[in-house]
Amino acid sequence: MTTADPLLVVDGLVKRFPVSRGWLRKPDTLHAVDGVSLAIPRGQTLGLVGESGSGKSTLSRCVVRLLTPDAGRIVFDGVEVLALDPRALRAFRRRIQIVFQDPFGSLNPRMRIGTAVREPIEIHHLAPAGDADDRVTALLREVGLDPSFAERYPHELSGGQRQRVCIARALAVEPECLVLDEPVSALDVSVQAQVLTLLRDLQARRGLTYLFIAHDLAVVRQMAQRVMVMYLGRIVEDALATRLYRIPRHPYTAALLSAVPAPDPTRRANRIVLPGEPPSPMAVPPGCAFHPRCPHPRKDTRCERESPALRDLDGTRVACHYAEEPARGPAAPAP
Amino acid sequence: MTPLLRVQDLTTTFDTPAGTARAVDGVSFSLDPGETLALVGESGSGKTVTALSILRLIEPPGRIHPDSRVEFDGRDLLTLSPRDLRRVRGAGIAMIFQEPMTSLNPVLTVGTQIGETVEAHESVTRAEVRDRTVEMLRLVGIPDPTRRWRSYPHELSGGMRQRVMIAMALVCRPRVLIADEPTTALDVTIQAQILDLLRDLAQRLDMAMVLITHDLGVAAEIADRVAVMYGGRIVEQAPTARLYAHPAHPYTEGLLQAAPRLDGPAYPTPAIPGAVPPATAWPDGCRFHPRCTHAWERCHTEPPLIDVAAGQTARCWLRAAPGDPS
Repeated sequence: MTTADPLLVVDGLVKRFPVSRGWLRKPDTLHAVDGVSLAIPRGQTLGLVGESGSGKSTLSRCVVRLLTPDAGRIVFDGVEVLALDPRALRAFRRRIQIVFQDPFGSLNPRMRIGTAVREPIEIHHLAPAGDADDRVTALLREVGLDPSFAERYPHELSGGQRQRVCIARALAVEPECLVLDEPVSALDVSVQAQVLTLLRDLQARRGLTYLFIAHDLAVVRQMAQRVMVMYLGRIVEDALATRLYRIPRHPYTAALLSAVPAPDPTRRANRIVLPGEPPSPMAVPPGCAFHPRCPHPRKDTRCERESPALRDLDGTRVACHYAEEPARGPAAPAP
Repeated sequence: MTPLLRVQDLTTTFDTPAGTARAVDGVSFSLDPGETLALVGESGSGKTVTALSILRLIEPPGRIHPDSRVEFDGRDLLTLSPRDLRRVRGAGIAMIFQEPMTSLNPVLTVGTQIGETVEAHESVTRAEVRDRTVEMLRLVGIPDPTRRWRSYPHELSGGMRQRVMIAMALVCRPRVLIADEPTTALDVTIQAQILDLLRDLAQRLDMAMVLITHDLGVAAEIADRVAVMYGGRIVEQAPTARLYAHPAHPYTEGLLQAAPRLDGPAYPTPAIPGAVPPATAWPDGCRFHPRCTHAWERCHTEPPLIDVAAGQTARCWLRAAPGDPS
């Protein structure tokens, strides 16, 4: 297998949740992820963007097998992940790790930082007892923390330092792939950039593959070679970052891009404000799920009837009947 | 123009086991009628405590220092009797918070909660309360307000809840709205709607606004003037266009450079080194100096507020005239 081959492939992934409507009533089904396919080449970053209810977090938890999908395939380095027996699954978990948004909730408040980072090394028997401390020291250094942090407790650390600890902990098992679920959303702007730079450096040094999930398109742009946009459990657009930010093909992508408030008061007027709110994933509209909010000038009854297939358009995958025509309205930001 | 709200030397401290936290330390600004001022800063900069102090919502061990002054419409709110203060809260100055779910009572309908505000401030009949409430729900863009009036908070989405909070804050037609991170908990497409709504309402109701945000993008969308806070102090203040084009304080400059933007480079932006120190241990002199790339000896002395340009002031020695003896 060459390095151009994808490390992670997801094919037709479906995850549903039963939702109780009260006893004696048949539970409803929530389609959190509805037939998602993606591939990430080794050493690259795929950005996954969507608002609440888009299914991006469910998808990420399926990929690391914290959730078991209802249908579809996950192939990691040629291995069918969903077919693994418990023993092989345990070995697989070493190869892919997840870092969550909230560095406060992800660390045990009563466990010293050193112990927290050492724990995965011990669970996976990755170092003889005497060497574990050296490994912890090296990991803390690698994420830009002084080794003396090993003696501290999480509450003594700032948000950025805590997120560095979570990254060190994920790296402790020497994974090849990290799923980063909103890793900087809880951090201050001045600290966000520090953590993003660290993640880029680690990727270059260790050849890591990232699935980078965020709601902030401006942050994703700094990290990802390819970007996928989700809406109500489905992919609406999947394109090279250089293309997606320049020529968004899906009207939802265009609206998301124009909704990002720019730190530039001269751009105030240039916004598409979408009407309404994302519908509940329990009641996905028929046809194109985006049609009730869609500002596309060509929107018609076809959009209300027929769900658009995800199709290829000059190397971009897009799910819109009218993707050939400009998705951005007259109020789109300048290129 | 006489300012509608004038905050002068506001200092609010909290006694903690780790020492006295000077959360807000000598903050001064003013707000003209109809103007929107953004207070921008990171967590721990003191922006929320500033807002709470204006409405005297600080509970012990917090303490507003006696030299502080908050003048609203010519009266000092900090010495007002509780009775008079209650009249100002809601009808004169209203406030909305970041998390609408925790600010709404889950067991009362939104109509009841908005109505309570009216009843607290005016003598009105039940029919009038209802009409006012429905009208307000319509004004903030809640579809089908006569039906939504009976809804409970959990039946509404996050965006709708924030609209209800805005309706509740505005139902007594306050002259100043303090909005503390009103869009932070919302999705980006909903954030755009709420910012549009706030801007539209401020104009239509001729209301001044203090918008508290950590997001320079949000401030750029809506503010006439921006005040940047760091370490419990305002370090720079300027008209919006001026601040973004010519930031005078290195912290403002650093924040602008760190903010990820769609038209910026496709790699991580330069960060500001280090982190905000705790309010119990502010550094000497300029509180930003340990993180500042321009810092030199003089920065161990507190810089005064220096006039940089028309309407622009900055608390930085770099802006002092050469040979300034202070």
